[in-house]
Amino acid sequence: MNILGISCFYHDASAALLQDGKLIAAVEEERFTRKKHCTDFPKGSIDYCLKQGGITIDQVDYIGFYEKPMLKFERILYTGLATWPRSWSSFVRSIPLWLTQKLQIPVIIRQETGYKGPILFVEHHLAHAASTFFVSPFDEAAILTVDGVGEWATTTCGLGRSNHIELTQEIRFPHSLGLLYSAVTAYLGFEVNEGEGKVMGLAPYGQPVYRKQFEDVIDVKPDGSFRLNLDYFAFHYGTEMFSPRFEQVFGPRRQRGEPLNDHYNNMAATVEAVLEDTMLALARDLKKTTGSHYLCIGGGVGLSSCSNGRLLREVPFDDIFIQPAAGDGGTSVGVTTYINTMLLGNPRNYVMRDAYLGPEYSDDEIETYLGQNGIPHTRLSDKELLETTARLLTEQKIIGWYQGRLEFGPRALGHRSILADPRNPKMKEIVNERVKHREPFRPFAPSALLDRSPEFFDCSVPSPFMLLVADVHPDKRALIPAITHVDGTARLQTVTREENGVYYDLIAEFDRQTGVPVIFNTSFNDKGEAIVRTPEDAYKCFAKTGMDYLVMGHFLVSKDGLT
Amino acid sequence: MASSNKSGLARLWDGLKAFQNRVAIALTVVLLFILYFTVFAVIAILAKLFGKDLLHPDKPEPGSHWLRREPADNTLESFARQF
Repeated sequence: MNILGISCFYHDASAALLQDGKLIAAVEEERFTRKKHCTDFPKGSIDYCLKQGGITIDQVDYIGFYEKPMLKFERILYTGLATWPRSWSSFVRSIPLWLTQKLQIPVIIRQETGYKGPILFVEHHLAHAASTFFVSPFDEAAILTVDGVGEWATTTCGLGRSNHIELTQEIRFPHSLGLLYSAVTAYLGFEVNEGEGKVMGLAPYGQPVYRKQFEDVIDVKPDGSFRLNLDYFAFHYGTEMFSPRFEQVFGPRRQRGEPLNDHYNNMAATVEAVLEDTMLALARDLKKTTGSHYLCIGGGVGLSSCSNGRLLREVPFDDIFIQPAAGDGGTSVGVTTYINTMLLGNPRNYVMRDAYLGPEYSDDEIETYLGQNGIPHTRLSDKELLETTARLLTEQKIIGWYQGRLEFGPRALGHRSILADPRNPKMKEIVNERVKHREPFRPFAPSALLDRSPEFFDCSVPSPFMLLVADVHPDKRALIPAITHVDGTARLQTVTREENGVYYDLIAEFDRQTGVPVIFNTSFNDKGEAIVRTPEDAYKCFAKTGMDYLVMGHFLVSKDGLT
Repeated sequence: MASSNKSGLARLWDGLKAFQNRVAIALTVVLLFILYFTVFAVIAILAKLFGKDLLHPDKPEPGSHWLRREPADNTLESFARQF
């Protein structure tokens, strides 16, 4: 049984292939087009999934799409009517796109792929729920999905048990925690659907001093359910996210490139605090009503690692599961698991223990690329690969690290990563300036050996997908300053040999050489780019940025050609 | 010469397509304008007159903003529909 999942035409287009209940491949289209958060039809991703599964499109039994387009269109029309005549600008922009593209999904799928079989449409939040619960290790778990908006729902909750998911309650558009956060993202001069992580990184520099004013912006009930005061927002009728009232109360927005100041830092801190407190209230109520020991989170808000860390610490769930592509990219996985389990009644037989679901390039392919392009390189043995890379890190070199299958989701988890020494207090600034070309306030993340991470981080469970923020123990902060954020926290990735052999061994070798089982890990891309996929992508990124060495498979490339 | 003619025709064709595209966009805007300020206007005004809140058709439970969800109809026929 082959089930292909597709997500596209909003943001983070992707495809995934489930074969006999096992997730064989999943990848975002941005890795093929190089356009970050690409919305295009995921042709490259689909071709890769079919190739990885060893099948042709004729052997696909079902294709699933990540939303019900007519329900979403209904929401567009109702919102246009409800906000008439202010909705004109939004109406005239969106309707042509809907008529020519978004209401033509089956036609487009068949034209682009040549597929002739059944196409199924899974409601957006059901896809989010299935994308997390059905690949989780839990037989029973409470489910919470929170994002910007799907068809109508923006937040849902329910229970997953064995082969069954039931979402029992929802909050509907325009009341959306994700859109509230995006509105403040826009207010702070960052791009919506791209800059939310920047707001999260900025928040620890401020204080949530606007909590009182935000009580008029969002009403949160004790059960965590919420409702926005629409006087502050414009996303439901216009092309702006927030209304003039928002600026009347909170002052003028920050223009892009304008320096940040205490006010903007405090706005970031406030919206982050509101988000976290609301998520905590939702989770506490879910714990109370379901009695479940575990929680599965889906939707883009699930990528909020600060919120996830607090959930784990402050709500009495034994563990939480969030799959690495919790946002819309992950819904392609959700539709495949929903169809397989809920609609076809097949048993669950897959747990997502790692995110390495994308394309892989062999040493032969890497060597061919390097050779054909005359790039000087040195082949290393397994032992040399680890010893040399670790030594270069201790010599304060910045290394592009390219191994195995590409990660699914926005985080680089040691297969397409840029690595550095976390002990260097200047390393954050060095990498920000020389390599990543991004805002200086943004933190970097650590990868730590799972068995050693409790020595450094206050985190009681594995964090393989870098989706939990944990406190760095106060006595260790000076030891790993480059990955310790201003508030003493870090967005932790824990690494095991079973799931990530070479990367684990590299960190272990770094530990052997330095006594620190932690390395500095950031995604292998430059500002505004998607994470690299091919050896060519990796070399081009390496060549144009300030990385010192590139380690691809067993090959070492030096920036100055001296290997 | 043939190549030059072909290039010229290709340029002409591209120009016509660009013009056609602009006309199509203009017509779309005009048609949507008419639709929005006639049919939409009538429905929107009637909805307001009769106090119908199109964004909030369902009322939540007291003391909460949650809305109850109907259980999904987990049949292939239901999921084959776009609504």
